[in-house]
Amino acid sequence: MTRIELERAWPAAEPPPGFSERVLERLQLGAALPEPAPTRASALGWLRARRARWLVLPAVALALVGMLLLWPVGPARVGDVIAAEPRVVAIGERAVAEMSSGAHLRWSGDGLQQEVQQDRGAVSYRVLPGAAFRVQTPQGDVTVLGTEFRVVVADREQAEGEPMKKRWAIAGAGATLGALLWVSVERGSVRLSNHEQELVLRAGQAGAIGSDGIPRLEAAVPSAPADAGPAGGRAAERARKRQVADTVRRHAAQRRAAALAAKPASDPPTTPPVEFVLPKEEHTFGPYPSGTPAPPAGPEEARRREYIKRTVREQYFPMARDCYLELLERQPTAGGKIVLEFAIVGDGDVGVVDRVELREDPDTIADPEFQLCMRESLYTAVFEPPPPGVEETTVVYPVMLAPE
Amino acid sequence: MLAMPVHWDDGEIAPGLLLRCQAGEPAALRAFVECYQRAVFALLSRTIGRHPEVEDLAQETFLRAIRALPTFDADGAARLSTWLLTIATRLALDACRKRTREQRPALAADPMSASTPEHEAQRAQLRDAITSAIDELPSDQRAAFVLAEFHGFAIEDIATALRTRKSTVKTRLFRARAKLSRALAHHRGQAE
Repeated sequence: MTRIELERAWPAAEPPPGFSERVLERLQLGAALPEPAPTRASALGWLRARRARWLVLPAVALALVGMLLLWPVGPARVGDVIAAEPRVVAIGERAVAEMSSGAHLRWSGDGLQQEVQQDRGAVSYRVLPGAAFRVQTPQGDVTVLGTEFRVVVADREQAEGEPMKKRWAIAGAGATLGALLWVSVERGSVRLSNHEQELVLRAGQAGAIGSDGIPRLEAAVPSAPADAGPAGGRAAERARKRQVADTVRRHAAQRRAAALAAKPASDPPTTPPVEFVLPKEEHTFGPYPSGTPAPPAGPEEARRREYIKRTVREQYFPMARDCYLELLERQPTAGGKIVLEFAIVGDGDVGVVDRVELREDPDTIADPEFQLCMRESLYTAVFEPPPPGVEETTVVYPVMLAPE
Repeated sequence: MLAMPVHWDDGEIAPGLLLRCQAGEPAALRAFVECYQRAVFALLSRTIGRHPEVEDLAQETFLRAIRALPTFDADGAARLSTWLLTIATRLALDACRKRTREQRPALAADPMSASTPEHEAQRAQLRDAITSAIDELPSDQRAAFVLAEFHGFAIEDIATALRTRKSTVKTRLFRARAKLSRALAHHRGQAE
């Protein structure tokens, strides 16, 4: 029996009219999508509108169908965005930028050429070939010859300071402290130039421009070979994250040791450590982690609880999911619980993870490699620092893991 | 209207459109849904039967996919359609497991077009034979069969979608095909 005969004998249901509109309406009502990029001028109005979103939802839902029919061609080719938190923005029709908190981008161009100005922060770019794409920074330009790369721009005044060292550590192992511009290439290649000298960086390479303005090759960044499968890619990514985690952890330990040594013996005792147990309900990991808010105790504590939960979901869950997928490759039916206990300590203007332990639980997944992966991955998360006077915040975070 | 081609040469959405979907642009997301909705409905309706739940599951499939799209690696080995249909398959199998034993899926209930009453009767008999045979298949075997025969999934992709081993997929496919072959042979025997 041929496939055509089979299809005739076993017909399938057709999508009903208006199906796509209904999907998008549901997205509007409960979406967890990247927000459309507001311009700097419109950001305040957008935030105000967000507060009143529930009041205008019915109108939005009704207007959506009409809007979709009249939606302008393509994403904005001109934009100006300051990222208050990590976010993804489309730049023209051929690029997406993943912005870290505090990054600032302005861009303009047409279908043939896109110019981006990045004056601060860390941004990862994915660019489709076929049109010119250039990132201009105060220290030099990065011209795209391939597809995927990361640019970190330092403030010149902060380049030698502790907060910037922390940011370099986050940017990637091997980044030179004191560099003003740092670029790493995941795929393809880019040209790093200061208008007089240039350096072509290929996949797996990194380069930097320091205070002397000269582009130099940096220590190589581990990268998956082109022919590596998903497992090979994940292994390389894990290796890179572990290097980053090691750097962050070392730096945090040095900071704490230095602070301890400098503290006078007569110092009054600090506020006892704060402990949060998050969340009260269990988190389930499938491919799509679900999260619901825990009951608040007070406004500030509730905000901090929610902030920590959101940050863990955003920064840690994707890596934890990779750990679990690797475990499933070794043990296809593995499932259970991991109860993470970690401390957030202040490090300059950010909070970093100082220690990660696993609490005992009868359902704990006992695989040592998986446990190591879960612990190590958490070191890369960056939080707001603990409140003044609080040395560290301890967080207990139970995570359920089960095949979907 | 979109400024770039919706479909790429291999039947997937164009890479530029995928980037716009990953950035959450509504017009691109609409094109994404419209590009793949037929395949998703076909898979769901053949796996769980023609049931009102099909649209709910199709919506859930797209909502999950859209939320996870920023993490989809366009340069990775997985095709977008394979990834999307894997989500749909898992949702369908979950739905099958939740159903009570009494609620057997109602497969292929639509009448087929036929040129003559005689042809119509023959096709109806064939349809009934296939429907009956498929109805007897466990949901895991049916899902493997649908993915292989209607959506061109490789054994490895089916194994990923069903979270099982390739050898298990081969066994399920063998059994499903054997049952259908027996049903067709029986039908032909009756027709002769």
